[in-house]
Amino acid sequence: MKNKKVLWAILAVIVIAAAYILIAKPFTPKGDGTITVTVTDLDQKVLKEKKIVFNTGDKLVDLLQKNFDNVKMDNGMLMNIESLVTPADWSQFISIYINGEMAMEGIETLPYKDGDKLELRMTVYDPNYGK
Amino acid sequence: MAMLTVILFLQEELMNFLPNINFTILLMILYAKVFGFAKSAMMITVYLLFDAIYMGSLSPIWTTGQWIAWMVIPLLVCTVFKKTEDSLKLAFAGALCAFLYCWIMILPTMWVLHTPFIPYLMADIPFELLLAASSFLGILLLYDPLKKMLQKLMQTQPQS
Repeated sequence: MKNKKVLWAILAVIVIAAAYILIAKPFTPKGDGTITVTVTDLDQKVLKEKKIVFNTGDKLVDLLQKNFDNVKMDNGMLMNIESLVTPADWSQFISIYINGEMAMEGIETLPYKDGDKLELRMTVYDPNYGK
Repeated sequence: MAMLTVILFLQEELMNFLPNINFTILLMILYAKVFGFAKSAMMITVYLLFDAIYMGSLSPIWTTGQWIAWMVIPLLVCTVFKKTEDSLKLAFAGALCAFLYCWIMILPTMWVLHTPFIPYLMADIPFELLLAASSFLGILLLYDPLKKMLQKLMQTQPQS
Protein backbone atom coordinates (compact mmCIF):
# COMPACT_ATOMS: atom_id res chain seq x y z
CA MET A 1 0.00 0.00 0.00
CA LYS A 2 2.85 2.34 0.95
CA ASN A 3 4.65 1.57 -2.33
CA LYS A 4 1.46 2.32 -4.21
CA LYS A 5 1.25 5.73 -2.53
CA VAL A 6 4.89 6.48 -3.30
CA LEU A 7 4.31 5.66 -6.98
CA TRP A 8 1.24 7.91 -7.11
CA ALA A 9 3.19 10.68 -5.37
CA ILE A 10 5.98 10.40 -7.97
CA LEU A 11 3.39 10.53 -10.75
CA ALA A 12 1.85 13.66 -9.20
CA VAL A 13 5.29 15.33 -9.09
CA ILE A 14 5.81 14.46 -12.78
CA VAL A 15 2.41 15.96 -13.66
CA ILE A 16 3.26 19.14 -11.70
CA ALA A 17 6.61 19.44 -13.53
CA ALA A 18 4.94 18.82 -16.92
CA ALA A 19 2.24 21.42 -16.20
CA TYR A 20 4.93 23.95 -15.21
CA ILE A 21 6.81 23.32 -18.46
CA LEU A 22 3.57 23.83 -20.43
CA ILE A 23 2.93 27.12 -18.60
CA ALA A 24 6.51 28.36 -18.91
CA LYS A 25 6.80 27.51 -22.62
CA PRO A 26 6.21 30.71 -24.57
CA PHE A 27 3.12 30.48 -26.71
CA THR A 28 3.45 31.96 -30.17
CA PRO A 29 0.25 32.30 -32.12
CA LYS A 30 0.37 31.02 -35.69
CA GLY A 31 0.71 33.61 -38.42
CA ASP A 32 2.38 34.11 -41.78
CA GLY A 33 5.45 35.74 -40.29
CA THR A 34 7.03 37.80 -37.57
CA ILE A 35 8.58 41.25 -37.55
CA THR A 36 10.50 42.90 -34.75
CA VAL A 37 9.56 46.48 -34.04
CA THR A 38 11.79 48.66 -31.86
CA VAL A 39 10.97 52.13 -30.61
CA THR A 40 14.08 54.16 -29.73
CA ASP A 41 14.52 57.68 -28.37
CA LEU A 42 16.97 60.40 -29.40
CA ASP A 43 19.81 58.70 -27.51
CA GLN A 44 18.97 55.44 -29.33
CA LYS A 45 17.79 54.01 -26.03
CA VAL A 46 15.26 51.23 -26.67
CA LEU A 47 11.90 52.24 -25.18
CA LYS A 48 10.04 49.16 -26.32
CA GLU A 49 10.78 46.17 -28.50
CA LYS A 50 8.20 43.68 -29.62
CA LYS A 51 7.99 40.70 -31.92
CA ILE A 52 4.75 40.94 -33.85
CA VAL A 53 3.09 38.04 -35.61
CA PHE A 54 1.35 39.08 -38.85
CA ASN A 55 -0.87 37.56 -41.48
CA THR A 56 -0.60 38.36 -45.18
CA GLY A 57 -2.49 41.55 -45.91
CA ASP A 58 -2.08 43.05 -42.42
CA LYS A 59 -1.33 46.77 -42.60
CA LEU A 60 1.78 47.89 -40.75
CA VAL A 61 -0.09 50.80 -39.16
CA ASP A 62 -2.76 48.43 -37.82
CA LEU A 63 -0.07 46.16 -36.35
CA LEU A 64 1.55 49.15 -34.63
CA GLN A 65 -1.79 50.35 -33.27
CA LYS A 66 -2.56 46.89 -31.88
CA ASN A 67 0.83 46.39 -30.26
CA PHE A 68 1.98 49.81 -29.13
CA ASP A 69 0.46 52.63 -27.07
CA ASN A 70 -0.16 56.19 -28.12
CA VAL A 71 0.09 55.56 -31.87
CA LYS A 72 -1.00 58.68 -33.75
CA MET A 73 -1.03 59.13 -37.52
CA ASP A 74 -1.45 62.34 -39.45
CA ASN A 75 -1.61 62.46 -43.26
CA GLY A 76 0.14 59.09 -43.50
CA MET A 77 2.94 60.16 -41.16
CA LEU A 78 3.65 58.51 -37.83
CA MET A 79 3.45 61.40 -35.35
CA ASN A 80 3.47 59.65 -31.96
CA ILE A 81 4.25 56.18 -30.62
CA GLU A 82 4.75 55.20 -26.99
CA SER A 83 6.48 58.23 -25.38
CA LEU A 84 7.82 59.59 -28.69
CA VAL A 85 5.91 62.73 -29.69
CA THR A 86 6.63 64.80 -32.78
CA PRO A 87 6.74 68.45 -31.66
CA ALA A 88 4.61 71.07 -33.44
CA ASP A 89 7.71 72.79 -34.90
CA TRP A 90 8.95 69.49 -36.39
CA SER A 91 12.37 70.00 -34.82
CA GLN A 92 12.28 66.25 -34.23
CA PHE A 93 10.46 63.49 -36.06
CA ILE A 94 10.07 59.73 -35.96
CA SER A 95 12.21 58.20 -38.68
CA ILE A 96 11.68 54.67 -39.93
CA TYR A 97 14.51 52.20 -40.38
CA ILE A 98 13.98 48.78 -41.87
CA ASN A 99 16.76 46.23 -41.35
CA GLY A 100 19.11 49.07 -40.39
CA GLU A 101 18.44 51.19 -43.52
CA MET A 102 16.34 54.33 -43.55
CA ALA A 103 13.04 53.47 -45.22
CA MET A 104 12.32 55.00 -48.61
CA GLU A 105 8.55 54.90 -48.04
CA GLY A 106 6.18 56.07 -45.35
CA ILE A 107 4.75 53.75 -42.74
CA GLU A 108 1.44 53.34 -44.62
CA THR A 109 3.00 51.98 -47.80
CA LEU A 110 6.19 50.42 -46.49
CA PRO A 111 6.42 46.77 -47.57
CA TYR A 112 7.61 44.25 -45.00
CA LYS A 113 8.30 40.55 -44.87
CA ASP A 114 8.93 37.79 -42.36
CA GLY A 115 12.00 38.43 -40.23
CA ASP A 116 12.23 42.17 -40.94
CA LYS A 117 13.49 44.46 -38.20
CA LEU A 118 11.66 47.77 -38.07
CA GLU A 119 13.03 50.60 -35.98
CA LEU A 120 11.06 53.73 -35.16
CA ARG A 121 13.72 56.20 -34.10
CA MET A 122 13.28 59.74 -32.78
CA THR A 123 15.51 61.93 -34.93
CA VAL A 124 16.51 65.62 -34.82
CA TYR A 125 15.52 67.46 -37.98
CA ASP A 126 18.65 68.61 -39.84
CA PRO A 127 17.89 71.35 -42.42
CA ASN A 128 21.27 70.67 -44.08
CA TYR A 129 20.61 66.94 -44.50
CA GLY A 130 21.51 65.84 -48.02
CA LYS A 131 23.13 69.18 -49.00
CA MET B 1 -12.50 27.21 13.81
CA ALA B 2 -11.55 30.87 13.39
CA MET B 3 -7.85 29.99 13.58
CA LEU B 4 -8.26 27.18 11.04
CA THR B 5 -10.06 29.57 8.67
CA VAL B 6 -7.15 32.01 9.02
CA ILE B 7 -4.72 29.16 8.23
CA LEU B 8 -6.79 28.32 5.12
CA PHE B 9 -6.60 31.94 3.99
CA LEU B 10 -2.94 32.52 4.90
CA GLN B 11 -1.52 29.40 3.24
CA GLU B 12 -3.13 30.39 -0.04
CA GLU B 13 -1.81 33.95 0.09
CA LEU B 14 1.67 32.75 1.10
CA MET B 15 1.77 30.29 -1.79
CA ASN B 16 0.45 32.74 -4.35
CA PHE B 17 3.90 32.94 -5.99
CA LEU B 18 3.35 29.36 -7.22
CA PRO B 19 0.40 29.32 -9.63
CA ASN B 20 -2.34 26.92 -8.52
CA ILE B 21 -0.12 25.16 -5.98
CA ASN B 22 -1.59 25.36 -2.49
CA PHE B 23 -3.17 23.31 0.27
CA THR B 24 -6.63 24.83 -0.10
CA ILE B 25 -8.38 21.67 -1.28
CA LEU B 26 -6.48 19.52 1.25
CA LEU B 27 -7.61 21.79 4.11
CA MET B 28 -11.18 22.02 2.84
CA ILE B 29 -11.43 18.23 2.67
CA LEU B 30 -9.84 17.94 6.11
CA TYR B 31 -12.21 20.51 7.63
CA ALA B 32 -15.23 18.87 5.99
CA LYS B 33 -14.15 15.47 7.36
CA VAL B 34 -13.49 16.74 10.88
CA PHE B 35 -16.23 19.37 11.31
CA GLY B 36 -18.96 18.18 8.92
CA PHE B 37 -20.78 20.06 6.19
CA ALA B 38 -22.33 23.03 8.03
CA LYS B 39 -19.22 24.14 9.93
CA SER B 40 -16.81 23.57 7.04
CA ALA B 41 -19.18 25.44 4.68
CA MET B 42 -19.12 28.34 7.14
CA MET B 43 -15.30 28.30 7.29
CA ILE B 44 -15.05 28.17 3.50
CA THR B 45 -17.49 31.09 3.15
CA VAL B 46 -15.49 33.26 5.55
CA TYR B 47 -12.21 32.26 3.84
CA LEU B 48 -13.70 33.14 0.45
CA LEU B 49 -14.81 36.58 1.65
CA PHE B 50 -11.33 37.27 3.11
CA ASP B 51 -9.70 36.10 -0.11
CA ALA B 52 -12.02 38.09 -2.39
CA ILE B 53 -11.56 41.29 -0.37
CA TYR B 54 -7.78 40.83 -0.11
CA MET B 55 -7.35 40.00 -3.81
CA GLY B 56 -9.84 42.68 -4.91
CA SER B 57 -11.99 40.15 -6.75
CA LEU B 58 -15.19 40.62 -4.75
CA SER B 59 -18.03 40.77 -7.26
CA PRO B 60 -21.51 39.23 -7.27
CA ILE B 61 -20.91 36.99 -10.29
CA TRP B 62 -17.28 36.02 -9.66
CA THR B 63 -17.56 35.46 -5.89
CA THR B 64 -20.85 33.56 -6.21
CA GLY B 65 -19.22 31.33 -8.83
CA GLN B 66 -16.25 30.71 -6.53
CA TRP B 67 -18.56 29.99 -3.59
CA ILE B 68 -20.51 27.41 -5.61
CA ALA B 69 -17.25 25.87 -6.88
CA TRP B 70 -15.76 25.61 -3.37
CA MET B 71 -19.00 24.31 -1.84
CA VAL B 72 -18.75 21.25 -4.07
CA ILE B 73 -15.90 20.06 -1.80
CA PRO B 74 -17.75 19.79 1.55
CA LEU B 75 -20.82 18.61 -0.33
CA LEU B 76 -18.96 15.71 -1.97
CA VAL B 77 -16.88 14.92 1.12
CA CYS B 78 -19.96 14.76 3.35
CA THR B 79 -22.00 12.66 0.90
CA VAL B 80 -20.19 10.61 -1.76
CA PHE B 81 -16.89 10.35 0.18
CA LYS B 82 -18.42 10.30 3.68
CA LYS B 83 -17.08 6.85 4.52
CA THR B 84 -13.78 7.24 2.65
CA GLU B 85 -10.80 7.59 4.97
CA ASP B 86 -8.05 6.16 2.77
CA SER B 87 -5.73 9.03 1.84
CA LEU B 88 -5.16 7.68 -1.69
CA LYS B 89 -8.90 7.63 -2.42
CA LEU B 90 -9.26 11.07 -0.86
CA ALA B 91 -6.35 12.29 -3.01
CA PHE B 92 -8.31 11.23 -6.09
CA ALA B 93 -11.37 12.97 -4.65
CA GLY B 94 -9.23 16.10 -4.19
CA ALA B 95 -8.05 15.96 -7.80
CA LEU B 96 -11.67 15.58 -8.93
CA CYS B 97 -12.65 18.59 -6.79
CA ALA B 98 -9.81 20.60 -8.36
CA PHE B 99 -11.08 19.89 -11.89
CA LEU B 100 -14.69 20.58 -10.85
CA TYR B 101 -13.62 23.90 -9.31
CA CYS B 102 -11.78 24.93 -12.50
CA TRP B 103 -14.65 23.86 -14.77
CA ILE B 104 -17.29 25.62 -12.69
CA MET B 105 -15.15 28.79 -12.74
CA ILE B 106 -15.16 28.81 -16.56
CA LEU B 107 -18.68 30.27 -16.55
CA PRO B 108 -18.07 33.31 -14.29
CA THR B 109 -14.72 33.90 -16.03
CA MET B 110 -16.41 33.97 -19.45
CA TRP B 111 -19.11 36.27 -18.07
CA VAL B 112 -16.82 38.73 -16.28
CA LEU B 113 -13.81 38.78 -18.65
CA HIS B 114 -15.72 38.04 -21.89
CA THR B 115 -13.27 35.21 -22.57
CA PRO B 116 -14.09 32.85 -25.47
CA PHE B 117 -14.85 29.30 -24.25
CA ILE B 118 -12.53 27.06 -26.28
CA PRO B 119 -9.31 29.18 -26.04
CA TYR B 120 -9.91 29.62 -22.29
CA LEU B 121 -10.50 25.90 -21.82
CA MET B 122 -7.29 25.06 -23.73
CA ALA B 123 -5.17 27.63 -21.90
CA ASP B 124 -6.55 26.51 -18.54
CA ILE B 125 -5.56 22.82 -18.91
CA PRO B 126 -2.02 23.15 -17.44
CA PHE B 127 -3.39 25.22 -14.53
CA GLU B 128 -6.11 22.60 -13.91
CA LEU B 129 -3.45 19.88 -13.93
CA LEU B 130 -1.32 21.87 -11.47
CA LEU B 131 -4.19 22.36 -9.02
CA ALA B 132 -5.30 18.73 -9.34
CA ALA B 133 -1.79 17.25 -9.01
CA SER B 134 -0.71 19.52 -6.16
CA SER B 135 -3.95 18.84 -4.27
CA PHE B 136 -3.53 15.11 -4.92
CA LEU B 137 0.04 15.18 -3.61
CA GLY B 138 -0.84 17.31 -0.58
CA ILE B 139 -3.71 15.03 0.44
CA LEU B 140 -1.69 11.87 -0.16
CA LEU B 141 1.20 13.05 2.02
CA LEU B 142 -0.42 15.31 4.59
CA TYR B 143 -4.05 14.29 5.11
CA ASP B 144 -3.40 11.51 7.66
CA PRO B 145 -0.88 13.39 9.86
CA LEU B 146 -2.93 16.61 9.74
CA LYS B 147 -6.14 14.81 10.66
CA LYS B 148 -4.45 13.10 13.61
CA MET B 149 -3.00 16.42 14.74
CA LEU B 150 -6.34 18.22 14.41
CA GLN B 151 -8.24 15.53 16.29
CA LYS B 152 -5.62 15.53 19.06
CA LEU B 153 -5.85 19.32 19.24
CA MET B 154 -9.63 19.21 19.45
CA GLN B 155 -9.50 16.67 22.31
CA THR B 156 -7.29 19.02 24.34
CA GLN B 157 -9.57 22.03 23.74
CA PRO B 158 -12.50 22.62 26.11
CA GLN B 159 -15.80 22.09 24.28
CA SER B 160 -17.95 25.19 24.05
